[in-house]
Amino acid sequence: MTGPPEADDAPAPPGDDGDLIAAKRRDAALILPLAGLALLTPPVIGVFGAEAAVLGVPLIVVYLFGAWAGLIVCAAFLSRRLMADTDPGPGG
Amino acid sequence: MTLGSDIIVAVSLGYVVILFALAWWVDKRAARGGAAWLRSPVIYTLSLSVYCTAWTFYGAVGSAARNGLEFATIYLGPTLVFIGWWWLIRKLVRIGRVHRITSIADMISSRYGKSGGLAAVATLVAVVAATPYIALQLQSLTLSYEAITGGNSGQDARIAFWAAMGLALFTILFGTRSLDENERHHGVVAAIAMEAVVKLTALIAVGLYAVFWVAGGVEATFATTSAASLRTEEVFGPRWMTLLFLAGAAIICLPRQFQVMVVENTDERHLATASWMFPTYLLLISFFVLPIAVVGLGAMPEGSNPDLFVMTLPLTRGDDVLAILAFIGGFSAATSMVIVSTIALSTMVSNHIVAPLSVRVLALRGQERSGDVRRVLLTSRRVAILIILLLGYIYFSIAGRSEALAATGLIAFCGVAQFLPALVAGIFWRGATRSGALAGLCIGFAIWLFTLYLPSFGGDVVLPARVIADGVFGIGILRPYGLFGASGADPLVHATVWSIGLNTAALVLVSLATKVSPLERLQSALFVDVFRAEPGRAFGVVRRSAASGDLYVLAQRILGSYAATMVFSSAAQSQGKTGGLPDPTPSFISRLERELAGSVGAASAHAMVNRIAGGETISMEALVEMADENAKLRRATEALRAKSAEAEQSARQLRAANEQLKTLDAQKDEFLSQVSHELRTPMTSVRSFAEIIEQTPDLDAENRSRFAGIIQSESLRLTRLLDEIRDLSFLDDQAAAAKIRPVEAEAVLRAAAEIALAPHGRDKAMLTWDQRAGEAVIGADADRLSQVFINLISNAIIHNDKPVARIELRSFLTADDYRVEVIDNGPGVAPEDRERIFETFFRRSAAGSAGLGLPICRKIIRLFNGTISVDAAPMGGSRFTVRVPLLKAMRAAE
Repeated sequence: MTGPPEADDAPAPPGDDGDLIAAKRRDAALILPLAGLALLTPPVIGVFGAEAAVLGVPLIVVYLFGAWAGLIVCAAFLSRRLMADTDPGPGG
Repeated sequence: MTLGSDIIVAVSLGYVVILFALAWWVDKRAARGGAAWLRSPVIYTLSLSVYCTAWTFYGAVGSAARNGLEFATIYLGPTLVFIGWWWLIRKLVRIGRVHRITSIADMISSRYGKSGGLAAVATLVAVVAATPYIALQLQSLTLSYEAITGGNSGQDARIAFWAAMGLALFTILFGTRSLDENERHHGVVAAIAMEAVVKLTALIAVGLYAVFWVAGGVEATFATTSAASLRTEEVFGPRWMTLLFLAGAAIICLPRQFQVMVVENTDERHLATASWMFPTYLLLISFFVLPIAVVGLGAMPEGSNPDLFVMTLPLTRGDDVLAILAFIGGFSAATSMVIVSTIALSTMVSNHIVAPLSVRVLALRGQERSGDVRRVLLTSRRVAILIILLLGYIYFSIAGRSEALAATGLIAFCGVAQFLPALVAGIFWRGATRSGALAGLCIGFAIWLFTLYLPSFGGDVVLPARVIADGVFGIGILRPYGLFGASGADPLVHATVWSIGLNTAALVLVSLATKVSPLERLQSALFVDVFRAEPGRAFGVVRRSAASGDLYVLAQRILGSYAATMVFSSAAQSQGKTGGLPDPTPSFISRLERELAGSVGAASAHAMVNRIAGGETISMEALVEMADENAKLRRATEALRAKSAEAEQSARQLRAANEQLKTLDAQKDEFLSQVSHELRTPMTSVRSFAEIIEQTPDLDAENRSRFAGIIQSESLRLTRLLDEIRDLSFLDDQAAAAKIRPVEAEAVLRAAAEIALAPHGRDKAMLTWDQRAGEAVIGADADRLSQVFINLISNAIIHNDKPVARIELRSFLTADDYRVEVIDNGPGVAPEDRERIFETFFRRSAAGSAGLGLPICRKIIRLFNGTISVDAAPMGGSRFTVRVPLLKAMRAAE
């Protein structure tokens, strides 16, 4: 009849925490392309249109390919974690 | 420097033979269940790179030479879409797999109620939009062939024609050898993957050559390049945004991209890898575009076509091997695009135009049950491939030669982008309807035709030059490049804004204004909630009846007899049958329809099955349940949560009750021993004095009467004790409540105070009663109420430890209650005991009686709907407060 009295203040089941992290990853998955769009469109990209060069390469070229590569790294980092949360879908 | 045409033709043919051998070998392996390596994320990613056509290989450099960094948008748009794969592409792929989608037109038509009309319109749009794109490939093949063999442009038409015919033959051999039940082409995918590697290698090789061989280092390459020469001031404008949007749309909407991304997908997890690997491929292939353009502009003679720098740069410097590699790279880029594109388009044409027509024609001829649909479809695909390539050739001959490659490609991008509103609305918005999608697609297509496609043929070919300059009938607001007076914009930006804008507006407005059919509603629920819905449940929603034999014949005609037998026998098995055909349950018919949809498209499969079943009814009840799956899930979760909270609450209550019961049990034991002790004490003295009287006959009269007095008083004590116990049990009986009548409370209190004080001398007890309530009528039993007051006042005297007990009475009225306070100067009640002294079996002190007085008081007051409580008095003792509702307040409440 008597339940364990500590049941009320027992820690939340681990599933809740995992769900929270998964939800954050999904948010990140939405924010990443939006952030990419912001980085690759005016006004941000215009800032790097100045006359300058990095090791002989125009700044804007370095920025464009640098931002591009950065987005790819973030996407690679995120996709592994996102896929770990999801089911493989129907077979076939 | 040029090379002999025989060498080039031989190299090209050799390359094609290698491709074909690879495809043939892979198809053979795949048929035997091997070729697991084909189903890897790397192959998937490489097949996606069919996006990079001759436009990328040749045109990007040309674009970079003309417009600086603008070329990058074509690869940045898809990058953004792919790094956001979780939200859009993943859903498309899941829907494609669940519903056996065969093409983008099939996807749109399936979503909007398996509409055959919508599928046909979408097919038409796709075919028309593809013509400039195919023309672009023919143009690049022609230009590169001319450049490498040193031919002149007089040969253009001939070269392009033979290229088109060669590609048609190639594609027919490649892609339409069989009618796959799920439209997957393993051999083609393998060939495309190989071509992806070839074109990337070739472009990087030329890039390295340009930077380190021709220019002599990175710094030297960019020596003449500055922000100004890249035109950074102008590039990042509306055209930049438009190109990003169009490229992002194209990666989803181009029929060939949809084919490799959704239809050929073998595992959803490949997307996760492709989400970064495909952008990496795009980054790599664009990496040397700018250097090649810059070096080419510096090293090549004035007036050279920048579109061909990739090949002419090594060619003019005599590096023939590299030039041939570049030619092969461009050749592979062009062929891979044409192969996949025509396969995708011919599938659409045969499924959405030929199949519905042939069903009708066969029905007219009375051959509804016999004609071989498979052969018709396969033939129609072959014919369609030929026609599509011919259309591309015609476009090239009329319009293609003058334009830069990128400009031609962008016309196609804008055309296929018309699918985007219907596609995105279809998978995110349940409210989008068939009429809305059809209206949006038609309006967008019409505006695209008028503002971009038709003018691209140039003056006087399709649109007279006068119309292009002055508008239709000379009406200024109907100028193709200045629609509705919006002049001055870049034609591409102009066309994109108007066509996509009005397309979306029409889709939304018409959707809001039209009603959805039950089938549309079902499909919209299945598409929008694809990650939650169980497709198996949807099968039961559509109710049809048909003879199993008829269905079997139909399946044989479409799937072929082997596949049809497999489907039917596995269905029979799952129905628990050992042999024969399965029962034609609605669920089985829907399942079969989905199988057929994998071959002929959702709309045609639906029409064919319904022709046999003679119509369908959609169970609204099941549909609503399906459609509300989401809401139901939410409700169920809520209910579950509430239930568990409830369970927790009752568990807590049970625990508390259990604790109380335990305490009560202990108190009861204590009480019984107390009662027996209390009864025993007077009993002992009664017995012993009675013995003395009995055994001592010569007892003097004085003692005898004293002993008799003791016996009498002890008996009285016993009686009182027993009365109290009886009172307790009596008060448990609810019938006691029946005796309640209106009582003048102050009078009762006055009498009770007198009675309580009577046994005690004035020197032992002092009672003050200054604050009086005056008239107060309460619902009570006067005798019982008096008992309470007497008990409280007596307790205050008896349990007092001071020489003189001072008792203060206060009575007053609140809005609803009559209240009496009995305040003493005694020892007070410890806070932890204040509640317990009212409990039946609590013994307050060893000096007192069994302690039944206060529990009795509480029971009595409760009968009157009142309360009794105790707290600390200001002067140190305790204060008992009795609260009984006034009768008028009770009446008012009733």
